[in-house]
Amino acid sequence: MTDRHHLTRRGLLTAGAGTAAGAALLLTGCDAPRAIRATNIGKKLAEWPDYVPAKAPKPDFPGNDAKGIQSAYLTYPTDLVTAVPEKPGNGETVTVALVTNEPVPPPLGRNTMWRAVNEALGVNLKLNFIPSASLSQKLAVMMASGDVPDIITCSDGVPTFEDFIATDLQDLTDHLSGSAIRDYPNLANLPTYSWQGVGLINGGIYGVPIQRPLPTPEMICNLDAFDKVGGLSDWTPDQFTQRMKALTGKKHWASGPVGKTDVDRHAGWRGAPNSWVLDSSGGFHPTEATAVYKDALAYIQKLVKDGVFYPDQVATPEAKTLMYGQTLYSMADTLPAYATNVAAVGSRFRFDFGRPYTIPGVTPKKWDGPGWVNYTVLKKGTPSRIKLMLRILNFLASPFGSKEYELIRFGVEGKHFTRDSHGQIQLSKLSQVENFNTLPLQYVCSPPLVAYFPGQPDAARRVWNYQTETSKYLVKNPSVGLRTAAKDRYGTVTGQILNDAATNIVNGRASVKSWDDALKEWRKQGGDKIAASLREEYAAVHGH
Amino acid sequence: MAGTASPTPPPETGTGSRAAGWWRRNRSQRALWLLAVPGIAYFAVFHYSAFVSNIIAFKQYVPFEGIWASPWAGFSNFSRLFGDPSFWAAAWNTLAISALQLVFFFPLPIALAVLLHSLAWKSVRTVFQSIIYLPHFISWVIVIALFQQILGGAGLLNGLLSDGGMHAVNIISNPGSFKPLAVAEIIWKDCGWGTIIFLASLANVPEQQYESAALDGCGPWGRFWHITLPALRPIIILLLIMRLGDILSVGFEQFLLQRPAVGPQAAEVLDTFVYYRGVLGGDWGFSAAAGLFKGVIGAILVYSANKIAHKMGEEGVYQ
Repeated sequence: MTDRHHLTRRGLLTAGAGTAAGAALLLTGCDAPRAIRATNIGKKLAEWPDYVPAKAPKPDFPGNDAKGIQSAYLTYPTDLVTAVPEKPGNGETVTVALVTNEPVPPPLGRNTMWRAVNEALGVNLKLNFIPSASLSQKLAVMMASGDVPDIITCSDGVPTFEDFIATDLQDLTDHLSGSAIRDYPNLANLPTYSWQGVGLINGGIYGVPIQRPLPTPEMICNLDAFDKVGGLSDWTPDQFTQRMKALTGKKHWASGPVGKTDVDRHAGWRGAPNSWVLDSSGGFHPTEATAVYKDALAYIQKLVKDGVFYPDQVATPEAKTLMYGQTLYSMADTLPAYATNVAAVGSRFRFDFGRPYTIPGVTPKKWDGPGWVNYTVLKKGTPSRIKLMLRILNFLASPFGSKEYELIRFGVEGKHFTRDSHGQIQLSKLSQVENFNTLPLQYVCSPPLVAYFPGQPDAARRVWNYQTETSKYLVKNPSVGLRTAAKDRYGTVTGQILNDAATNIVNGRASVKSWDDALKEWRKQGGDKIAASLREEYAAVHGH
Repeated sequence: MAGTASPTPPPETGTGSRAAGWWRRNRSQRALWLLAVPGIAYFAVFHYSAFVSNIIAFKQYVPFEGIWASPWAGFSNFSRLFGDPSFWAAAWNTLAISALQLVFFFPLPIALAVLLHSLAWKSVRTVFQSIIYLPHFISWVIVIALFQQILGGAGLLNGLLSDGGMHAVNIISNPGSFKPLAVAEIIWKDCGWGTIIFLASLANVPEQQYESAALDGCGPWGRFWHITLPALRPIIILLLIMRLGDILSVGFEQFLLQRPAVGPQAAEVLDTFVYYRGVLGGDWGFSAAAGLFKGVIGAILVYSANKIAHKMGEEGVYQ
């Protein structure tokens, strides 16, 4: 017989579940994005770091900082300078989380390049390599665990991370704002657009940009193949289609797998503003809602139907392999990857970039990048510890033409490279394993990129020509560097909605008309809130 | 009754004596307890203590603020979840794929195990077993790459069709063929591995039973029906109940990797939905609500299926 006052297990569970549910009901809850500290609204804004260009060897083709064009060198300088006279460290151990796109390199004990860098820095760098595809997950785990290394490479698009930066990581304003940056001359050599691209967080400077030129290469092509069908420029949309179709067939495709980036590029070529339309009253509207964007979707859908895109979804490394083997004749890729690409194919064929096509009455637009690829943030520490970290970053940002740059980029002379009789770099076999990609300190801090490719002066000339020719079409993305609660909360999900819808449409799984439904869903899931928040943040940061 | 002498000692009903008995019993089983400690610790730390974290389903969880400091969200995560058509689309895909797996994948390891068990040559059976186990150890990335290399738009099959002047067939990136394809992939990968547990059951069937049945004139079908199947029935019922508990989990990597090729309408399952919203979207509370929903449905299904098994005279997973 059961005592009716006796508490059974079932009774306990029922009571517990009921209490929990009741308590949860009573507790007030809401779905509005929480206020974030990272926002700049109502904050005193830090002065941007002074820009003091470093002394550099005279380029063969000079860059243009205002337009974000790289300096190009046809040959390697023979008179190297010392950019950092004193070792930054004194035997300290420094932990670093950095992004990599390559397999993990040999460990420190068997890695000549890593040991040489440690020796030159005067510190023991403990590197935690994070595959770039896992960066979001790793940063989320880092936030949740609170286990933070001294130096962290990060990126936007990781929800709540910018707030984590503003709360738990080091404010670098006192060290880097205005003239304070002059203590770190190689960091002062980073162009202002890169700092602005990272933006202020909580009114201060928290992130050191890993600089990239403003023009973002979009369509990297096999120039030799395109030359046979009419080239990579002076074309209309119809001629573009014809040339792509001419290159396709017999197990060859004119382009790599299709994606939303292809639609973005073509929308820009057709005159669509960069990511957001900023109206005269300061309002933000998504460029995806423009008629031009829809035209671009329809155009790419037709190209997919014509079979010019590689039919299977493959990751970028696999697409590159297909490109190097000339199964593909073009793909979407980044500017720093151009260096790896030209080195990989050598003299087999030439790489170049597709120019915007022309439509009568339309001025094409080429969408600016943010001026950075990642940015580096630091764990909170004593002033002396923070200065050590900044001295390390300053060393890693040593410019082209310095001994420090040579070490980080090419390794140790006699081991990773030799010089020929003209003083030009000749890479050794060891450099295939130990190089700036497998030991990617370039993703911790790096100087402004220059166009120099050992043994391939024409490759430098081509990339400089491309940047110069297209710089007149560049348009900025007005949301770059802005920090808002709604963007943080809804940015990834709303981005995914448009990405999925665009992929469905171009692949013929949905009609172009369905784009309106996707935009409705985008608005419902927070897109409108993002637009409204950007308007406020833009006014706070830009003062109008 | 007061004043009446009892012929037998009264049963030990006091709490103290019951506890003493419990301790006595367990002291004599110390070695078994010690062996069980790692397992108990594993479940306590990684399963039962993790239950508490379900509380984030009722919070607007911010990782760096921690569970307790994050603001309460009441039931808003659940109301958003149940009001989100993407969630129901993912749930539908999951159920559809689960049903296909149940019909086409679940019976295959049983059939294969019976086939293997019937092989008279032990060496042939060992070699065959080793071959069919191997795909289980191949990661999903490789399995999908293999399928793509064979059936993809640029794959072997389409290469042959194109060489023969025929039209290409779209299998890999066709949303319509995705669900059967996903089941075919899991059959290729895990069917062999799934035979292990059935082979272990079959190994326990005494050979004499088959011999006696054969002497009594029982044919192969009769032996299968009257000896093999009854031997397998408890384990089939057990696995079926456990599969029902996992009906809302059909895998993650397999679908994450193929989602771009066919789109979310075909390949979004609950686990990828949680990944995109929780891990990438940072909507942890919302994703925890989806996870909790999955867990509750799974628990209800296991409980119900177990009850039904008892009613049918089977042992089920637990009593």
